[in-house]
Amino acid sequence: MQDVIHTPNMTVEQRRGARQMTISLEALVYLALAALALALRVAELDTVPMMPSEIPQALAAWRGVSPLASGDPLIPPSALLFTLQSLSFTVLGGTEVAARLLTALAGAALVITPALFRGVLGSGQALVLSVFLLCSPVLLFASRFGSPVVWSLLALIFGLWGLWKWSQTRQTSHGILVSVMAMTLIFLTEPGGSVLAAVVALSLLMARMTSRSSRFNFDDGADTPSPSSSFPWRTGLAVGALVVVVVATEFMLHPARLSAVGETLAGTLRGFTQPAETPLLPLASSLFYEPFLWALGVVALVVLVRRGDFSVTDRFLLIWLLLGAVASLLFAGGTAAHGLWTIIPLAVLVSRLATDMLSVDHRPSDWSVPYWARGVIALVTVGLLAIFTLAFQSMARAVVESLDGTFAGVNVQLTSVILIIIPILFLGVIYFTAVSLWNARTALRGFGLGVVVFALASSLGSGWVASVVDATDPLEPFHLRATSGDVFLMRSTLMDVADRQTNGFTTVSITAEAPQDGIVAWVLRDFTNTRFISDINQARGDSIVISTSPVFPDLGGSYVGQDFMLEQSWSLQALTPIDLLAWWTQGWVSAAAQEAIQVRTAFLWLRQDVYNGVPLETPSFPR
Amino acid sequence: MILEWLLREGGIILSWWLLAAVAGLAALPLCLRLLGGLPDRGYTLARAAGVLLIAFVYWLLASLGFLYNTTGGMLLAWLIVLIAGVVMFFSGERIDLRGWWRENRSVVVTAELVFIVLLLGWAIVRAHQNGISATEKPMELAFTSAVMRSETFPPNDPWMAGYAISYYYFGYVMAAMLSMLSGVPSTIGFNMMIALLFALTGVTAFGVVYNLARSRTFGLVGRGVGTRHAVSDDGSERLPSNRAALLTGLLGMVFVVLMSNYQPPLVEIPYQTGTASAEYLSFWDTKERGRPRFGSSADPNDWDYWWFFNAARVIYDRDLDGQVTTEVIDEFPQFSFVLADLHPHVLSLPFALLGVGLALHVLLRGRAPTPAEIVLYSICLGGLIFLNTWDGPIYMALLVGADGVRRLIRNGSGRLETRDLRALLQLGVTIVGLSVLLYLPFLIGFRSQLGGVLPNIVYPTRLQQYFLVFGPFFFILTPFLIIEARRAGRRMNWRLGLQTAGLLLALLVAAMLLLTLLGALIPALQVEVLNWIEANGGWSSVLPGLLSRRISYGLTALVLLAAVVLVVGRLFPRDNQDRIRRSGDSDDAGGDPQTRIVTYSPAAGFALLLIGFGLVLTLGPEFLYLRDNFGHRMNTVFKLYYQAWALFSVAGAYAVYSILMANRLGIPGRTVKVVYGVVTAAAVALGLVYPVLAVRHRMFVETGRVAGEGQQLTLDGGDSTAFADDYAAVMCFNELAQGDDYVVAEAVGGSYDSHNPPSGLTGKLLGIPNLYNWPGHQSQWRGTSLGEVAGTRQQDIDRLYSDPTWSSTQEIIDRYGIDFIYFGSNERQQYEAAAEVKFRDRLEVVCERGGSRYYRVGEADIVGVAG
Repeated sequence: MQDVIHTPNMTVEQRRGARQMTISLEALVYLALAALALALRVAELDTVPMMPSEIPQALAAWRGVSPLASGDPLIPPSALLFTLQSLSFTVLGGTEVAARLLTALAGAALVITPALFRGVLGSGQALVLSVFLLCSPVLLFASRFGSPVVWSLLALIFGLWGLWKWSQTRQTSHGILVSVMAMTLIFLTEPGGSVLAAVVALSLLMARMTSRSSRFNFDDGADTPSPSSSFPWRTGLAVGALVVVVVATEFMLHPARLSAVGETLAGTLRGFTQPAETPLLPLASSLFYEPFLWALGVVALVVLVRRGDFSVTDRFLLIWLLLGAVASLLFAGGTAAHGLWTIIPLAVLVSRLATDMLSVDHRPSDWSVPYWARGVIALVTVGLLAIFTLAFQSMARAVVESLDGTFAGVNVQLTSVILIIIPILFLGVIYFTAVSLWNARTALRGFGLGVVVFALASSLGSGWVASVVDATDPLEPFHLRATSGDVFLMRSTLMDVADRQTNGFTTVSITAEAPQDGIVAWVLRDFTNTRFISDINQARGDSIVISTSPVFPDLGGSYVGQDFMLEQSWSLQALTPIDLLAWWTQGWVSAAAQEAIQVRTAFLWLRQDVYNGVPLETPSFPR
Repeated sequence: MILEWLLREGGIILSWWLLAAVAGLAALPLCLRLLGGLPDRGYTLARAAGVLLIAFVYWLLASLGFLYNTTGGMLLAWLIVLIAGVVMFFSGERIDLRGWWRENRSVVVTAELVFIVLLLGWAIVRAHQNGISATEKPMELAFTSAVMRSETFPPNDPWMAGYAISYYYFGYVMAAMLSMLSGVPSTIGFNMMIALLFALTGVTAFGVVYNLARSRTFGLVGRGVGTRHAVSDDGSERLPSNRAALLTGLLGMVFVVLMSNYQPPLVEIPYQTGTASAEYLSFWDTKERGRPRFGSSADPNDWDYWWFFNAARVIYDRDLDGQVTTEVIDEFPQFSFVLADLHPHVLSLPFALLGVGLALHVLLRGRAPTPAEIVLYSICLGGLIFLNTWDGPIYMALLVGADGVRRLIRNGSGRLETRDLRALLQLGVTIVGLSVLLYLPFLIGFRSQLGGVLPNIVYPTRLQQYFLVFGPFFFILTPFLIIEARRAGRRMNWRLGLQTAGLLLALLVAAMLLLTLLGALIPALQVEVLNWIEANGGWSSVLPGLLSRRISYGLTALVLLAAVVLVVGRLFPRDNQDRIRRSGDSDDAGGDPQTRIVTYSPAAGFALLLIGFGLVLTLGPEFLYLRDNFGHRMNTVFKLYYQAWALFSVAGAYAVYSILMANRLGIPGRTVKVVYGVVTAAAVALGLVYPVLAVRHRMFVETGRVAGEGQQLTLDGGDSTAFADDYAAVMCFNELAQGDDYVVAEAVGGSYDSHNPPSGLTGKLLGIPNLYNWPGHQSQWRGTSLGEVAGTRQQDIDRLYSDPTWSSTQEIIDRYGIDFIYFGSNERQQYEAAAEVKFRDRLEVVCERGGSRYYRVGEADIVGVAG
């Protein structure tokens, strides 16, 4: 956006017109991207049940704001998310939307943060990067499932921006911003925040040490103080500490919540000392959901190296990518969302390649290349890739449906094979045709553009499917433990009982044999008379009992029961070689692999009289 | 066997070493900045400082409600200390770290080696003798478990459900912190803490003495005190050799943690081996060693069970009729580590030495303390109040005294002026005030058994027994004092020394008489002060005997006062207007050699200060003692003599250095040095007999390993804490119980578990509150408030188990909110098996091992029921 500068000789009418703000096309595009990102993240938020990984955080916040909430106070894994969820629960109530909304908004904001770096990346690349982030499945899941990794990345991005601005202006405010964001990243976001901070800090240091570029040359002269001495360390540290304390304790309203900061640090330590539940999950999720990004990333690096055009920014990104991969291997506390540690630098590198492919080629050519040439090549490439993918998926399904569970028993249809080979052949034909008509550069760029477009489209699709359509499917690496949609049914059943017994107030007495930070606890979050037990015998005679034990309990009377699936969980170790292709492309596995899905069920037992609608003597106050 | 054990439990030792190391690293930037007056800039003190600072920050934040008692909070505290240290480090003048490393790498390496060797060594000892029973270990284990289990601070009293610990529990916070961070239960943490304290005390003692000795070579003629460059005789600068200082530091470490008193070599061994006559033993007249042993043996394997214990029972007070009235405790550090009680005086030992180090820094710094330094001093010295209340005032006074010596040296006049006294008062008040403020969450709720000062009318210490207690220092320090007097030459202020000694004696006697008079007038004190006199016929009957005793036993006080004369006379030299040529009979110091009055170095002045304090601490109980539940001077002697040992040890190591190794002094001559060296070596050697024999006895004889028995080496002392079934039942309960929100009823046991099977097991092993236990100690901890707090708990628990009617039982359950009732060995012994029938008929068993059971009473939730 640009303000029109007032000129003294203009008339009043002219001045009025001159003060109008103009919105550039770039700004419009960013707005559109933001709107789209928001739509993708906010839509259907309440139709997907809370995942086991989200619940402890949400319950901690819910019990903090709701004094009558049943269950013991919990120490949240993320102090920042705890405070934010407390705010949203206070405003919006204890719903799935309230639990996830602010993180979803943060994820949407993250999509357009490349705009902050237009000065470093260029307007075009920043825009392209935003498109990549919009379509990133991992970022989409992380935003929709309330992952604190989104907040750690947001803090990181703002911190990097602050550092860049400080390097240019040496203003104290920017320095303070860097400190505040660094301390937020390390102490407030999540246990992996410290690791990410270390990775990026090391990357910056190594990039600067290995670079001879003057872009970040801080040594302006003999009289200029060194960066380390001119950085406002003490003020930054003091302000950062204040922010940490204020946020963690919610403006000192809840001093004990400073423990959450300690728990974050303890989580970091545990991430290096305890074995991972699913080893290498961050790297696996990154490769699984963004394979095109990795492939294009490799291409981008090769192109950059061959061109000899390795800037300090590229160097920084490459080191970040490598260190991020190493950190993903070493940090056992990583979740699938931590795949963003490698996806972000990859996306930036690939966006540079994509920008080059989009930009006009001014280099001399023997032939006149029309402006539409790359577009046509790209379009054809997309079409052929689509055909290839469909056929590939069909073949993958055939492999999974192998009669004897081995590759020997696979019965692949000939049409599938043909439809795989033909697009490949056609791609070759298109390439050589384009080379002969125009030049190799045009052909490659068109081809590359097509791959990028296809990748973006398929990423967007896979992201949405995994986030919404298959949200309860444990075969998705993002949520190997997936809450079942039955929990909504269970909650509505309990609400019906509350309607009958207590006129809709959630004060019915419920005895739950379940952990206080699990799925059942979330379902019962606003049932104020819930008693959590761990021995079903303690529930004998109670009016409403929820049991998660597979053993049929003796409750000392006549009860009517209903089972509800709570969650399904699966392990990557159940994968066999014949499952790999179908699982990767469509989330299908063989029957044998499906048997490894473990189901956890809860049983809702209503005493006969309750089932029959006899009013209970329900206490007015929670026990 | 040791190798197999190391493979199995070596990780625990490694983790504790690492925790101590990172604690030291966290405090190191702070020490480098704030303790720059010390030659090593506080490196050797950083470990102890780090543990204390981190524990303080953690405890304070948890007590104020900012943190829960979790490992995350501990990490946050560590980080806060580190960040504060780093910020301090980068404030102010740049510190040349390379130069520091060049100068100090030998002491760094030595300190690290010392720490590792001491930690590993004593861990090996504890692995052999891991018992956590007898004496007060059950109570100490209970406190550690309670701190680990409590979700917030102040921690629950494990033996008084519904109340917080009423004791100085800071040391248990440290033990719990380290146990939780290393992921071990309290029964392992207990033993590892002993090993850590041994190592921490040793390395801190090493560091303090090293810095003391090293500072001798840092004095610069013509410049102010505390500068860091040395000048050779020809005026050129050179790097000072620190080998002598390192050796002295090691010697100091030996004196503090290894050396014993002379009871073992002079009494115990002759007694056990039958080589002493009755007259000989009667002369020393120590506890249970006044007559020859029946059936002596030269083989230590055949000596009395726990013979080593008598080393801490030297002073034996007899009334005028010669009857024994009470035993007096006179422990020393090596005994404490051999006994392995995790008592506050042991827990505070490394931090007391840290206090000595801080006092040394005040002296060497050469200027008044800065606000940041005062805050550091207040945290560390205030922490001593929280660790072992007796220590706080002692080391605060020592620090102020060190500043006084600094001013003395700076003034050069040998006198403290009015402004100096004012400044000292201000410093003392500031440190006390700040300490109170920083530790207010503890002080505000603390109830102590102490209730004033009482006169010691009847029981001065016999000189021979005093000699047994402090014998090694007699040989080490007396020549030092005499040589220092010789070095003072005409500056020796005999008059002031005599006046001070006389005044001191007069004050003590006057205080004793005044308190006696007050005691006669105040009914509440009459019993304590005068009951013995009344019982023996009144003043007219006993006065002659008292006077006679004071005269015959007064030699101890006289000897101590004589030493005071030497200390004061040297510290406050005579200003006789004569110019003293700088010659071989004067020590290094600042100021013009032609007009200098103070002729001792800061290091010598500090050593004299330590000796002076030690003398006063041991002189005081000759005339006065602190009023407590014991009703006699046992505890006063115990606590004050313990600190005196530490102070004498540090001073003694310096004395050896000063006489033997300081080369630039002309006094003493070579012959005296040789004689002194031989005598000191013999004196120290005598004192090192005990650790060899006592440790061997504990490790091999007591455990049956000599006889080929003995169990697998392990640091886990859990098996020793209860009978097998009881222990198994408690461990079963531990698997089920989450959190600390339960009340468990067990039969009340007496202190030290001396008559019944071990009691209060749930509180002791798990930190889950028992309704009531160890009433004797509760009385000590809570003083006059015990009645109000405990009420009728003991009687109610008795009824709970003994009354066969359920209604009475239910009433007690309801009154106290009991969640679980335990019936095990102790209950069976006190109430017989029939008492359990009513529980079995009505309550659900949640844990059962052999004949020991936990019964669930209320709705308290635990994780399932164990078979």
